[in-house]
Amino acid sequence: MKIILIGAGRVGTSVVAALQAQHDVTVIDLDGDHLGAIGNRYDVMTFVGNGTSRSVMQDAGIDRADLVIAATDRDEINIVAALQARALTKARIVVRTSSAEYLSAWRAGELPVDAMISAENEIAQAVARAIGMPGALQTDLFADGRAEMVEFEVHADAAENIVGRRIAELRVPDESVIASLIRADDVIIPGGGDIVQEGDRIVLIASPEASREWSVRLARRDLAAIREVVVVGGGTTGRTIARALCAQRLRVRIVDADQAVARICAEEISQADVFCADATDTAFLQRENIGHADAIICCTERDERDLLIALLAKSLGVRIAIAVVGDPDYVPIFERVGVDHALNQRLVVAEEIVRFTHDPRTRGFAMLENDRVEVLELEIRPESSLIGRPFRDRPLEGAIVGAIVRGDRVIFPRGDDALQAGDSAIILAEAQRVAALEQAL
Amino acid sequence: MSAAAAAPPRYRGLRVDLGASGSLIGLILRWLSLTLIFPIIVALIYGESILPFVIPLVGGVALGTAIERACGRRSNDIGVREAFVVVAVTWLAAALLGGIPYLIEGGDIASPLDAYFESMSGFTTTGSSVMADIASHSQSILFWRSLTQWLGGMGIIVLAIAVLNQAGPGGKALLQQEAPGPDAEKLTPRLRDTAVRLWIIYIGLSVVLAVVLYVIGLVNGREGMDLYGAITHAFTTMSTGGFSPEPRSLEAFGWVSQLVVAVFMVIAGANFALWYRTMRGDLRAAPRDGEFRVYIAIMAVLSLLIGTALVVASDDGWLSAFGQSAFQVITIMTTTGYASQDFAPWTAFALLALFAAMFIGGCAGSTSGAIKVIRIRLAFGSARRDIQTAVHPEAVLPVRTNGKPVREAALLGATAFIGLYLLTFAVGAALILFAAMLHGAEVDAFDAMVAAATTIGNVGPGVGSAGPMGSFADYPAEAKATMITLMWVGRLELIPVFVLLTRAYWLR
Repeated sequence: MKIILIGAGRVGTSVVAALQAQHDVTVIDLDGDHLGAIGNRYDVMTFVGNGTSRSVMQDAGIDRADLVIAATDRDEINIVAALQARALTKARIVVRTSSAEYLSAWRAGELPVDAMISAENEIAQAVARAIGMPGALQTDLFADGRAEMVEFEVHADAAENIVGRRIAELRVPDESVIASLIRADDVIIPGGGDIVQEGDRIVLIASPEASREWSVRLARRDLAAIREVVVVGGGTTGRTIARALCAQRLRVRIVDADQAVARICAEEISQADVFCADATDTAFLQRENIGHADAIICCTERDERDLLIALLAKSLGVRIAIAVVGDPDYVPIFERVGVDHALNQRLVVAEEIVRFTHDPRTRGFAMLENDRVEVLELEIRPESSLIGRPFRDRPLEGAIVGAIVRGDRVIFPRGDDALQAGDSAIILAEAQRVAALEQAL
Repeated sequence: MSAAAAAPPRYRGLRVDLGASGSLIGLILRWLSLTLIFPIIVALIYGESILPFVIPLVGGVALGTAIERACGRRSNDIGVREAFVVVAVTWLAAALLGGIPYLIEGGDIASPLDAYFESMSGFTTTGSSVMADIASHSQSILFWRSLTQWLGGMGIIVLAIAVLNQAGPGGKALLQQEAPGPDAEKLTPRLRDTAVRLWIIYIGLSVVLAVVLYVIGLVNGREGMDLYGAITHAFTTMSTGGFSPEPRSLEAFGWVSQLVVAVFMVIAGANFALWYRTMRGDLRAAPRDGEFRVYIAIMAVLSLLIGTALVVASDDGWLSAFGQSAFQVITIMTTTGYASQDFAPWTAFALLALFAAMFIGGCAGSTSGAIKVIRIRLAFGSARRDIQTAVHPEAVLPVRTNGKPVREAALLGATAFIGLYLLTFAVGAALILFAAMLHGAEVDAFDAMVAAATTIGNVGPGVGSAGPMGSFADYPAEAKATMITLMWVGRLELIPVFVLLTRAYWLR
């Protein structure tokens, strides 16, 4: 697939990193130094120039492109570039935005682009899901929210003796499928004989109700429902998260040290209480009883502050700490030292953008384990060789069907079930097998 | 370079363009004089002398032209700075012109000061009077008295912008200085269109009111108004002025007329931008507006309180007590000042509540005076926030109106305005009391406070000898001069006048 990427900033770089191995990528950016760095590190073509310019786009070969991605950090530049590209090509166009306004304009069909992706929105949804299901390491929605992919860590004190049992012995809630076991760095597509060990991570495909049930069985017992949340950092990301949490009727407090930023938060989000304070100031944290909050979400501009604040809050008694970090390399480190979830905007956005390099039949998409495992929602072609073969026979190598969307029903298949023409399947697969899988289905 | 920039300032260091300002003042005066044609028509109909109006008409046109010539420059280089002096002086000059008919007619208006008082009370829509015996004046004089209120209600400057289209780039500043409330709201992109629309709404509502009152008069006979009464009362209702050619004010008419007048007072005391939107089809514009809701709520609460006081203190029936209290609250709070009953013998509580209502006033962008509901809302919001931040010092709490956050500068402006307003009121009351003491007049402390509050708020009636059925005729001259100043300062909402008293305005 030929891809033109406009904008080689942080998100752009993540997209390049995710795409360059399988696709022909051309990157356009005004900043020659940025481009040089990308060109040295990845196997892509680079163009120095204005990404909104007609002649630059033509020089970059837009007429032959299959996908155009506008991912600079300025919404308006992205939109102008997309509109110009629309006039020059039939390719699919994906636009990054940080504005809820543009996002809703696109949803209303007023912007002629194929997709609009908001980093802030994706992060906010991820945070809201994590808050809604404490204990889950990662969650993603499929089939319009009728099925979820959830990753849990198995704790020693999990209910009903899950640890040390074979998968076949576990009483699995009806509407769920165990899609994978992740042990240290191994990804196991499980059969009935595999034994669950402490510290394993279980990946489930389940209905929302069943994943709640799993969450109760697997999660640490101290994780009760969350009512009170503190968001530290009132930038675009912090505000989007706060809005999403307010929509869940949680009590939300926002803390930002910048007077002007705090003012914007207070003006935009009337349901939240806003404080202009340094969140590392322990006197402030005690005065406002931050320790009584159930969760803290750190999304300041500096990762090291996020870490410090998260740990400080946990020491004061906050049960769950979530950090939105700028550097994807920090994600595992943060989680190792006690941050419950570390989320990275660029990975989240790259995940959304990478979706569009898949077959157009692919509807939903999620990445696990730094893109070693992918979960996708795929429409089954009527001529697919897999139709009618029961899952007991393990027709797919290195992959498992977690759910089947048939009409308005979602089926969580057992051994006797089989795919039919017209189904969509939610499939977990190792990343390198995905292309072959799309062919086969 | 334009001619304006090239012209040397006449006095060294003076930063106000007096030439351009004077020229515009002269122009407005010239055109304002022409409104004297209307009382001349009335005088001709009733066979009264036209002399009181012809002299100021001719004099005003001549003087206005002379000032314009003397200043000699086109008036369209009015800036923000010139706007203050233009607005302040125009209002002084208009009242001067408007006082001449009273002086020529004479009667119980004994001195130039009395004539000036009556005229200033008219243009500023105050409605306080020094006429001891209203019935002794001619129909044409009383018509002029009502007309000055109607002209001053929507504003002389707004009228000038609408009719003359002479405002130029400084027009917004001019409108800002005259318009009631913290911000002059543009309804249309062009200032002149806004001024025209405001006047059209104003004229339209006035015509509707006059027709309704006249029809009620036709049906009700003696309890209603004739055409003359309908027109003059429409003038002084829509302008929230409160002059009535009837010695007994609205008490002379039946309850139907009083009810209609009360409804239109409430309309006139609300923001005209709301009525503009209502007429454009947004019927929920007023009920949705936060200031309008608080305005109605304050009226309702005060009416209930005073009505209860009247039921307890007198042997009136419930309906009459609450009807009277609602009418009085509406007429005082919208700063109209009609009388439907002499409230002087009411209980101390009722008087005190009405006194408090004199400070509130109507909404921004209305024809009413006093502090205005919006500023009181902002001050309350600000106070509420201060109480909350005492407990949570880091909390960021924007004050909102209509769901929109208010700029911090606007909050400060509102609280500073209220402070300055109360200070001016207090100084005024002290001066009135001092003057009364010097002359041994029968004015006690409460009388003086009401006299100051009623004039700075452009309300009208006082208490004691100056009650709703009385007049300020017996007040000493120095007290009247103080009250004239208060009416002027209050109508222009303090700032344009106080700015002129600063050195920085003139020289830096």
